[in-house]
Amino acid sequence: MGERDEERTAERLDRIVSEVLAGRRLKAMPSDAADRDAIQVAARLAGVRDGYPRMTSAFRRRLGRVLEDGEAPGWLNRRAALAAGLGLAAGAVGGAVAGPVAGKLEGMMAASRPPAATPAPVPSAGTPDPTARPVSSREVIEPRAELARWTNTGIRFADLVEGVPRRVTAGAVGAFLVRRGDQVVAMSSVCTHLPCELVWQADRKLLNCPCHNLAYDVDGQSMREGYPLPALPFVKVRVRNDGRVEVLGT
Amino acid sequence: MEHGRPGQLGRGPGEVVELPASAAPPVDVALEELEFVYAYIFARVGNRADAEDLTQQVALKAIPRLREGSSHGAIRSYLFATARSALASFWSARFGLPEEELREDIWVASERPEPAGESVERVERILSQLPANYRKLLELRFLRGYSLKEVAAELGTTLGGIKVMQLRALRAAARVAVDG
Repeated sequence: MGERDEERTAERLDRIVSEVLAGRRLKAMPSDAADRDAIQVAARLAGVRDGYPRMTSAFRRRLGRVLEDGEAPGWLNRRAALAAGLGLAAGAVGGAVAGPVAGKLEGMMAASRPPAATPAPVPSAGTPDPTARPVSSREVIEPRAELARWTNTGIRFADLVEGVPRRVTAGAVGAFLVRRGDQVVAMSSVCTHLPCELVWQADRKLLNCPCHNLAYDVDGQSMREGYPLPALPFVKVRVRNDGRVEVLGT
Repeated sequence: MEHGRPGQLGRGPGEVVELPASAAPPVDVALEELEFVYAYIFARVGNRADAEDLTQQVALKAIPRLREGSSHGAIRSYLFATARSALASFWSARFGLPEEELREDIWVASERPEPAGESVERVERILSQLPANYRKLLELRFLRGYSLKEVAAELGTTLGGIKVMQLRALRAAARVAVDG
């Protein structure tokens, strides 16, 4: 290995080590077996630094609830659910936007404006076409049935400005509403890395996480290079016949 | 609980006490066992976030078994087998390798859960076989929580130099672990 190659590998390995030592998830993209072994031995070394590790009491309580309820709770992340074979409601950006009909919008990740309730919106030039994005599966926030309820945000579809997110809350669910042409999409307002509320930065046209300076574009996709974060989960949204936007919260 | 806390299990054949299924609510039994699973996983992934994710996965897969009223021993075996498989998936996803390859990997494979302290002993054994400067670096960085900058200051070298040394030390440690 050349000196520069070794330095680059050392740099990359230290980033992984630093994250793990900070208690964060291990993100490895090793190039060869030697890298893999080095990362695994690093994880082993990090694994004994606390003597005997125990679950936090909060995590233990949550696990207890999972076992008692026998179902995947809201906090369960997608990876865990998929690995457990539970399946999670997933939407695809392209599929979610295709042809919802006002009045029958429950379960849709994007809702159309109500028929004839507002003047026909004029798509601005250069607006990204959501259906042109690669279809990728996205997690969907869906409160438990006994708690879920549609919340009127008070915001009229006609008042939403193309590509400018509006922050709303519906009980325990925080969301950004984003208008895309004739559609409104709702997505979680919480960073998928750490649970901090994202902030819309109009000048940079991005949703910024104040905790780690990570950003998402207006469609909720991570702008981080290298190891992108999961996209912001969708929140269910619909438009009432009077033109007000509702989201499914608690 | 009578059946022992994590870390006390499996130390010797006489110490694992098999309780009838009705001795404790299945959820409590499972939680006690999951504490042990968590420690087992944490010792291999080295961070809380991944350890919690993987323990969740194991818990979810165990639910149907709990409902069947399985015995404590059966639950324990099942949880541990599931934890191994979850770890194999974890590393295979990180490394882009087939799971089968990792299932027999030295880092994943283990006949039974290790008692508390065995992970520590194993790491100590690895460290003891390294050259003194590598050992010191890894001890400071991993076991005593020094930042890389602090390690560099302690060992009297530059930050760039210490990063390369960390790489070499980890590779040396991996060779010791694989060979020994």
